[in-house]
This record gives sequence, C-alpha cells and structure tokens, in this order.
Amino acid sequence: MMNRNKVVIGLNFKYFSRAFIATVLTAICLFLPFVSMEEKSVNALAVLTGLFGSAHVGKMTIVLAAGIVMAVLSLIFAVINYVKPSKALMRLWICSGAIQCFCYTVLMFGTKVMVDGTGVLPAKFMVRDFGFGYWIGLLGAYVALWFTMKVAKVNPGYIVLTILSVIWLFPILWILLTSFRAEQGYYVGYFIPRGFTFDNYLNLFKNNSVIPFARWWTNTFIVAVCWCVFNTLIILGTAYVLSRTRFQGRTTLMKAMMVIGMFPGFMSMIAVYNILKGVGLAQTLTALIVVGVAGAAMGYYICKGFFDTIPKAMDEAAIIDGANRWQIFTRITIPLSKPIIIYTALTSFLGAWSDYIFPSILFGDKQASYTVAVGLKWLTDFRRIDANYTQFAAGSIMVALPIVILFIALQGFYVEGLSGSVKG
Amino acid sequence: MKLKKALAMALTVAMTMTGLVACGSSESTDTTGTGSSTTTEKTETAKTDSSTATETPAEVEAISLKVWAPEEDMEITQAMMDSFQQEHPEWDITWDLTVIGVDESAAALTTDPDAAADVFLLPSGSIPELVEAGLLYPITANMDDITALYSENALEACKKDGLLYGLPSTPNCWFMWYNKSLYDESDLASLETMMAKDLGDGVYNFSCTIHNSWYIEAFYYAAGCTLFGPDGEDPTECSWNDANGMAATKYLLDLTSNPKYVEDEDGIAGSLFKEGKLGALCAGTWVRNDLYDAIGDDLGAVPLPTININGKDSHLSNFADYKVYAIKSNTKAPLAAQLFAEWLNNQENQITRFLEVGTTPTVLAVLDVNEAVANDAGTAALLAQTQYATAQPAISQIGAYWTPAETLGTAIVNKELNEGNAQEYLDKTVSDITTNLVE
Amino acid sequence: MKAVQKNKNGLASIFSKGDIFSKLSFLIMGLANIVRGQIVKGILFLAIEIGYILFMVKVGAHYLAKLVTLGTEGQGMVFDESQGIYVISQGDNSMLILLYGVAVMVTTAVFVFTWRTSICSGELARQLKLANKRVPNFIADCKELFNSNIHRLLLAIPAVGIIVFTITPLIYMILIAFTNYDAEHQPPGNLFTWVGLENFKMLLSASGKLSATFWPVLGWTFIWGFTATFSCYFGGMFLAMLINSKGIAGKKIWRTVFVITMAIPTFISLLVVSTMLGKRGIINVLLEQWGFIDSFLPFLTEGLWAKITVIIVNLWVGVPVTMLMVTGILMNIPAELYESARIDGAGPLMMFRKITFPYMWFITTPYLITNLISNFNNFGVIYFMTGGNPSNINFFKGAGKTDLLVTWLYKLTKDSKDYNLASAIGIIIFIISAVFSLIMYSRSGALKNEEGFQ
Repeated sequence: MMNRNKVVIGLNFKYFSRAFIATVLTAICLFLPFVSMEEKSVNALAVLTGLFGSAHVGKMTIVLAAGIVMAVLSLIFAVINYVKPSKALMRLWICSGAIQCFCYTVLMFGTKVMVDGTGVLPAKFMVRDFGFGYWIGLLGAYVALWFTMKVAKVNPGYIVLTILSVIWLFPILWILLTSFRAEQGYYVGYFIPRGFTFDNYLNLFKNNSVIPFARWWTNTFIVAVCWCVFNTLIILGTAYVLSRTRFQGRTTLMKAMMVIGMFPGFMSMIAVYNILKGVGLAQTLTALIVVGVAGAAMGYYICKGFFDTIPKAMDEAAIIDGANRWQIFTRITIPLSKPIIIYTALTSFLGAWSDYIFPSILFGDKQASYTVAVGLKWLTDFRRIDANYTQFAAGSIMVALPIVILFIALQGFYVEGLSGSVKG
Repeated sequence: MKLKKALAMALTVAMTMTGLVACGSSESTDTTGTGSSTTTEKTETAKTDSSTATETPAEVEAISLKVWAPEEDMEITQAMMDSFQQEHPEWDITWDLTVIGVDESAAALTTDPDAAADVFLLPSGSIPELVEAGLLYPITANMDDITALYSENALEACKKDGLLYGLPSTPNCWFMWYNKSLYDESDLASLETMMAKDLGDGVYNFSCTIHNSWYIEAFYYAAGCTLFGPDGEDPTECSWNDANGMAATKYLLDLTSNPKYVEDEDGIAGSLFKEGKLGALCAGTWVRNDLYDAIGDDLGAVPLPTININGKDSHLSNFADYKVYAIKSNTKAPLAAQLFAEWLNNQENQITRFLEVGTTPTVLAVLDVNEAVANDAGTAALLAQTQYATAQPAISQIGAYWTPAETLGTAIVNKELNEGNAQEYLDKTVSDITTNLVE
Repeated sequence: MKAVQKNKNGLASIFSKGDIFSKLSFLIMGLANIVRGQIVKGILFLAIEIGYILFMVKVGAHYLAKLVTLGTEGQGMVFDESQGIYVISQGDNSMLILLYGVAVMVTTAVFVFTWRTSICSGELARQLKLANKRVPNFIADCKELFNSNIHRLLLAIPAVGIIVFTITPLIYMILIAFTNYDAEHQPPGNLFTWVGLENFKMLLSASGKLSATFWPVLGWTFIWGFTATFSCYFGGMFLAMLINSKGIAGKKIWRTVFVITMAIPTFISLLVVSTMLGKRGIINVLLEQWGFIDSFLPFLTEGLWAKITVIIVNLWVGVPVTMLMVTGILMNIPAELYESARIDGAGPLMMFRKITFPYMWFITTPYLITNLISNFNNFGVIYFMTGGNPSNINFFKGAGKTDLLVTWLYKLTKDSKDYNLASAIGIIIFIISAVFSLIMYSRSGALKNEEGFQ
C-alpha cells in the first residue's frame, strides 16, 4: 500500500487503512436502514427529512443532523488525509469522528423522544427497532475514532475513560440534582428537576424541623474528631510497639488480635450495648467514642507495615546517643511517618461518617444522639422516604461535600497508605 | 510489671462497676439523658409544682415517665402531658417524649425494655407476643370506667388471658380512598366493575399492597380461607392451601398482571393518586390529610369492594385490630403510667386527636355525639369496613404469620409464582405459618 | 502448649526454691515485693487481691453460681389491692446472668494473670537481692515504662479496651450459640438455658428448614465473595493501567473523578443507588422513556437480577479503591523491565501477561485474601442495596436470595431475635475466615519474613 511510503512526523500509518475503512463504512450506513419497524425500513437521511417535513424539530433532531453531517465530514477528512496526510487534518478527522460518536450515542437514548408523535414512523419507537444501519454506524464510528486516534498517536484510552466517568458520575449527579429539586417526593419520571430550590438545604437546618440534621451533623463531627485524635494515637502506639520492640508474647498477641478480628463484629454488639448500659453510657455519644477508641488497636496492621520499613539502624544510633524508647518514638519515628499518620487520621475520621450498624443499635429511639448515617438511613425508611427524599439528598450532599474535599486534598497520602496495606 | 498492674486495676474497676450495676441496672434508664423537648417541660412542671406545694403540703412523689408517640402526634401529646401533670399534683413528673411510630414500638421495646417508654402506642396484634415475652403491664386501675367507655370488641382485642394490656385508641384497619372525579360511588361496590371501567390513558384504576402481609389476607379471607382456625385461636390451622386459597391466589395473579392495577411500593400509589393518575387506593385514616391537600374535595372514602371468587361475591375482609396505649412491664411508676394512658385516651383527648390528626376515636360516647366525627368520610368508611373485617388472631403464633405471607405476596407480585407452582408455594407458606419456627 | 508447661514449671520451681515469703506470696499477693523493699508495688498487688476478693464475695460468686442454670426464677405478678394494680416482680434474667457471668470470668482470668505476675515479680526481687543487686524502686519501675517496658505503657489502653469491649462480648456471644436463646425464650419474661450443640446440628443437618437455608446462603456467600473480589481487582487494575498509560493527560483529574465515589460515605452512595434502581426508580423510568424497555426491570426484586445488580454496584464502589491501590504498586514496577521487553518486541498485552500481572499478583496475594474474607462479610453492600431481599419461600424466617451469612446473622438478631442461631452462624463465619487466613499465611510467608523485611 502506498501508505507505507508516507512518513509524517507524529503520525503512525500502521492503523490508517483500518481507520479509513471504518469511516467509509460509517458513511455508507447512512443509506442503510436506520430504523426497521413493521417490515418498513427508513434510513437516517429519510428520518431527518421526514422530521424537517413534519415541522417537529427539537434538540434531538439537531443531534441527528449533526451526526449525519459529521459522518460526511469524517469521510471528507479521511479522503483528504489519504491524499495528503498532515497532523492538523488528522486532528480535524478525530474531532469530527468524536462528535459523531457522541451524537450516535445520544441518539440511542434520544431517538424515542425525537420521533414519537411526529408521524415519521408508523408506531411508537423502541430501541430494539433500530436497524442494522444504526448499529453498524455506531460501532463503525467508535472503531474509526479509535484508529484515527492511534494514527495521530493520541491514546484512545480517552474514549473508555470518558464513558466510564459518565457511568461513575451518573448517580452522584442524580443525588446532586435531587437535592436542589423543588418538587418533593421519591418518584419522579424525569432526570432534571422542573424547579430548583435551596429549601431542601434550608429545611435541614431549621430549628422546628422534624429532622434534627444540624444536631446529627454536629454529633458525627464530634465523634469523627475524637476518633481522629484518639484512634490515631492508639494505632500509632500499638503499631510502634509491635514493630520496633521485641517482648515476650508479642507474636502471640498479634496472632490473638488477628483471630479476634475474624469474628463478625456486630455479632457481639448487643452484648456491648448491655455492657454500656451497665456503666450507664447506653444511647450516648460518649459510648460511641469509647467503643471506637477501645477497638482502634485492632487496626494497627497497616501502620505497623509502614514502621517496619523505617531502618532499624536509626533506632540503634539513637540508643547509642542515650535516647530512650519513648524519645525514639516521639522524636524519630513519628516525624518520619507523616503519610501513615495522615492516612490513619483520615480513615478514622471518615469511619465516623459511614459507621452505621453499631450506632443504630446503640442509639435506638434517641434521635437526638443519631449520627448522620443512622439519621439518613432513618429518613429512607419506607414510612418516611416519600416525604423526605429531597431532604435526604440534601443531607447526603452536606455529608459528602466536606469529605470529598478533604479526601481529594489528601489523596496522595491515602494512596501511600493503601498501597502500604498490600505489603502484608 | 507496672503496666499489668494498672491494667488489672482498671479492669477490676470496670468489672466491679459492671457487676454492681447488675443489681441496679434498671436505675440507669433515668440517667440516660432526656430529649431536648423535656428541658422546657421540666421548668414548667417545676412551676406547677411550686404552686401546688403551697396548697397541699402532702408529699409530692418525683417520678419520671417516658412516652413514645408517632411524628404527627408529637405536639398534641405534649399538651396532654402538661394537662395530666396539672391534674395530678401528687406527682412531680419528669417527662421524656420521643418519636417512635406505632409499628416500630414493639421492636424497640423488645430491643431494650429498660430504655423503652413507659407509655406508648402499639398495634393490638402484637399484644400476645409481647405479653408472652413478659414485656407488658396489665391495666387494672379504674377498670369500671374503662369497661363503660369502649365497646366490648375493642377491649377484647387488647386482652390476653383475661387481663387487659392496652387501651384501644383507634381502629387500625384499612379501607379504600378514591378520586371522585374518576369514580362514582356506585362503581365501587365490586372490584370487577372497578377494574372494568376505563379511566383513560395512563391512569391506573386500583392499587393495593399485595406484598405486605397486612393487606394480602383480605383476599384469602374473602375467598373463605381461615387463619388459625375459624376463631383465630388454633396455632396449627391455616387453610390457605385449600381450593379456596388456590382461587384467591389465582385472583391475585390476575389482578397483579392487570395493567390497570399498580402495586404500591415505596409510596408510588400515593404519588399517582395525588397526580390524579390513580382511581382508588387502599390505606387507612393516616393518609387523609396528605391526599386531601392534593385533590381536595374530590377525595372520597368507602369500605373495601367485593371480589368475585368461584362465582360468589364477597367483601374483602382485612384484619381489624386497634392501635392501643400500652405500658411496659418494668415501669417504675405503674400507677401513674396507667392513669396517664387512660388520660391520653379519654373522651376529650380523643376528640383533639381526631381534629388535629384525623385519628378515628374509639370511645363510644364520642362516636355517637361528636358531629365532626360522625360526618367524616374516612371514619365512616373505616367503621363500615370494620363490619366486613376479621378480627386479627389474638395468639402469639401470629408472629409467625407476617414473614411467610409477605414472601407469598412478593412471589405473586414478582410473577415468581404461577398457576403451576402455586399449590407448592401455598403449602410451604401454610407450613411456615403454622409450625413453630425452630422445630 | 509448651509455653504453658514452662510457666507451670516456673511457678512450681519458684514455690519449691523460694523462701517463706515467696511461698506466702502465693496466698498474699505482693508480700515478697514488700519484704524486698518494693513497698508501693507490693501494696498495689495486695490491694488488687483485696479488691478482687471483695468483688467476688459481693457479686461475682453469685453470678458464677447462676451461670450453671442461667436462672431459675421466672417473672411473677401479684395483685396489689391497695393500689388496684398488679405488681410485677422481675425474676431472673438469663441474658444478664450470662453476660455478667462472663464478665466475672474475664475478671478472674485477668486476676489470675496478675497473680502470676506478682509471684514472678516477687521472685525477681528476691533473686536481685540474693545477687546483691539493687532492687528497683517504684520510681525506677515507672521510668522503665518509657524505655524497655514501653510496650506496657502503650498497650495498656488498647488492652483494656479490647478486653472490655471486644473479648468479653465475644465470649458472651460464643456461649449464646450453646443456649436456646431464641424468639421463644426472650427475657425478661422467659428463661433460657444450655442446650449443647443443638443449634449447630440444626444448621448443618441434611434436612430441616434451617439447613435448607444455611447451605444455599453459604453457597451464595462464596459466589459473592469470589466474584466481588476478583471483579473489583481486575476492574481496578484495568482502570489504573488505563489512567497510567502513556499519553493520557490530566491523570490526577481522571483519578479524582473516580475517587469521588470512594470519598462519599458508602452508605450514602449505596442508599442512593438502591433508590435509583427501585422498581420505579429513576433508572427504570429513564430506560422506559428512552425506549429500551416496555416493562420495568426487577433490578432488586428478582433473585438472579438482584444478585447481578449487587455485584455490579459493588464494582462501582470497589473499583476506585483497587484503582488507587494498584496505582501505588504500578509506580514501583521497575521501568527497565518494560524497556527491555519493548526491545524484545513485546506488545502491551504480552507485557501485561509477563510483567505487570505476575508482579501485581505476587505482591497482592495477601491483600486479595483479606479482601476475600472481608467480602464474605460485606454487610454494607447487601444490607443497603437489597436488605437480603427478595425473600425466598424455601428459606427460614425471611432470609432472602441475596442474603450473605452476615446479613442473615444480622436479621436473626435484629428481626427474629434468634440469638442462638445468629451466634452459631457467627462461629461458622469465623471458622471459614480462619481457614482462609491460614492459607494466606502459609502461602505468603509475610509473617515469617517479618525480620528479613527490614
């Protein structure tokens, strides 16, 4: 093939022919049946002209038109690139291909809205009525995009990442939109709210509201801060001792903690509740803090893994200089362990926000002590969900927002801690 | 060695405390905080207390009462607590009022009887089970007044082994709400005529909650089946798997596959009804205000329709029981608790509850005399339905009914059950309902 | 076993070799210390002994004795004419007897430990004295807490916490598995008592409703555990490699997009997703509007659908976690490996198969196994998504088709109050986890190589 002879810096002609064929195929598909319904087939161009003819021109019609135009443009760019390839022209080809992919994908969801009730088709449209012209066109558009990107030495991973991001962000977008929705109620038949309002947020913080959300938020914050401080100290201490010192019964202790950790935790929660009742702490926030702190040492593992990597020679040098173990711990080990300290603090802090089972058993009927997890779950109970769904959404955002910010800011440390956890 | 010592000391202290409280753990309920609402209450009671103290130097007993009320009852219950305190200066009452729904209270009571409320609302159906677990207090104070106030049926529903364990506050029974702009009252006599009427595109005719075991029994009772024998007292009897049960199951299968029927899940029926897209739905008095706000005077209420099974029309017959005020067995102030339960349920307070939250009264005098009560459509439908309803079996085996019946209903709604395997499903359901759980 | 033997010998030899004070200190704790000049220490030991004896006499012995029967006296009721009401006498509460009995046992265990410590400590003092060395005083002992005995200082609070709030409740719950503490035997109205291995027999036997529930639930627990672990593992690896591959700009931004789902507390995202997937949730509504379906899909209400849905949703939650973790490891793979492979003409697939994957697999095996165990016990996803539903007519009391052993355990405690069965299941879960952990440790050798790692 003549492509072999062409050398343009920044382009890889290995994939050119595949991209070219896919583009041509997509263009041909414009004339193949776009919709096959009741043995009647209509191609994309006919649908478009039909729509323009029936004067039902909505947003989706423009998308369809754009898709067709882009298919043609791609073909033109493909031909030009075939004759005289250049980087800039390749870019244009990719752009038109990308827009075409977007339009075709949107059409999959929007065709029903576009054609129903316009008289272009004999009956109500279903996705299964798409003709093979559409499906091959869709597939061809993506394949063409993939290979044109390959030719231009752009990583086609962008396509996958974009699709995955949309999937991943869809529920988050939904809850965000719901939190601003003016119409109350759980069931709505549309994605974008008809009216936007801040009331859902304001209601949460009203004093006379049935939902003491501000109280729940404060409760959780108090627990989170206490856990963050105390749990981190305890985990650091335990991990230090188990990693840096050797004493009789050390391995037994570690094994015992591992064994205990394997019992499903909430099996014993009723008993913990009764013990707390015995000491007069049942249904209080203090109890939640105490129980969290009491069990913190069980999570020493990751931190110990980190301490294990700090060279022992540093300790030995310090001992020669006359330092005692405590000083080594506070002056050498801790300053060297910033990532793991932040990781531990962050996970303890986050734990308070998502811990559900134990608080739900602990607080019982005492709504004033609820943490956000228990409170928000209480709101989604089937007795309350319909009346409170938008408030629930707003509450979720109020909980998630600070954590997301915190998390993103400290992401690096989290990665370090997490990959540390793997080392076993 | 120091550390081990410290450890042992701390432990001993902790254990001793635990051990000590073993003898007096019941005291701890008082220390476990009071809700924010009670702080204002405290100051008020203090005031009344000082005024009465000057008049009657007799000793004032300090007691505390915890009350559970559903969300909608919170404000009026608070007012009733105040008036009760004024009525009884001999007690200085520390109140605690917390939100717990009627259907949540039994579970909350079992979870921790010490932290539970002294006085609370309960479905009368859960009385036998709770009495067997030793969690309820028999009510005996002012027994003569009580017998005069309520109908015999109502009191019977609250009794177990001849003792009264609750005061009936309102009939707990569902009936049918309908949209007058979609249905005429004459359409509503039978479910067949209801389903046959064309209400227009995108409008459903009827909704019920088949997958809820408090609703599904209406169809089986209508078909002539029995649960726990004809009088509801034989824990080994349930005839849902006979020919009548089969017929009822087939009826339900047809109904749920009818495109005009919508199964109520997570409040969908209410939403549709409020948008005018549903002709009739099954619920109780508790939805009245919500529905009325949406469709206004178009809201109508009637007893449940008849269904035609095996060529015979019979009324849907659901469980009838009561929401009752009950008292926990380990209350510190049994007498005050009993008197307060009676107070909450007296004539005047029942009228207040009717006017404020639409709760149908049970005190006979109120039903006869009060005009607003007599003219209320929901109350009329409720009372009409009670004559078609079946008393909910008052044995503790009823506890074994709910889950299997719900599973059966879910299977019907999800079309897991079909005519082929219906008999097998019914047999299994019946054996689950009638056997003791752990064989 | 060996250690115990040694200790016994140790105590015996102390008794036979020691002087009269050593011998007496077996009875009167701390005597040996006081005699050798460790007054404060000795008095502390003595105080503990006195405290323990007082405790046992006052309450401890009472509960220990009742532990045998778990209470004999039921609740009673007497009519009080003067008030016109019944007076209820609270009888024995089996649950509290068991719990406090366990607490007494744990206290005793701790006391025995202290007793042994005191004897060893006295012996040490005696030997120091014999050797004419200085016997450390209280202050010196305290100072050592910051140096050679730092483990005692730093482990004190965790140890107390774990004993009181983890071990004591755990022993209590294990013992429950051998009683008939079920829905029919609820305190305070009823007593329950010991039944031996009855509960395990019912669960594991070949017939009966309970075992007809147990085995299928166990099967699904395994299927779920493996599918959830490996789908997230490979999904996360794929995503991490995609983001890290050459030519992707804005790596940090892409990562953040996925990490957002991780930062939102899982219960929120799960609750939201489950409301979206409801029969008339937004997903079904949109699919209908877009013309994909004409009747609603039973995402969470039909057995197989629900199982697949929870696995997919778990991917949504779990992939970002693995992605972050793998990102850290990917950066550690020596770049030369890839370089030389490229020179040898290996394609990307080849490089993944021959370099990335083996390296990753080697490093992450322990992680995978812990992850597998935590997925067997993955309460959150199932509980918040389906609550174990849809229910299954063949199962015991409302256990559903997506119930894992843990969520079933939770239902048994929370809904039906069959604590005996719940704790029997808990013990079985423990055994399963322990077996997998054993495999992990015999395979990975991470524990063995602990010293070599540094």
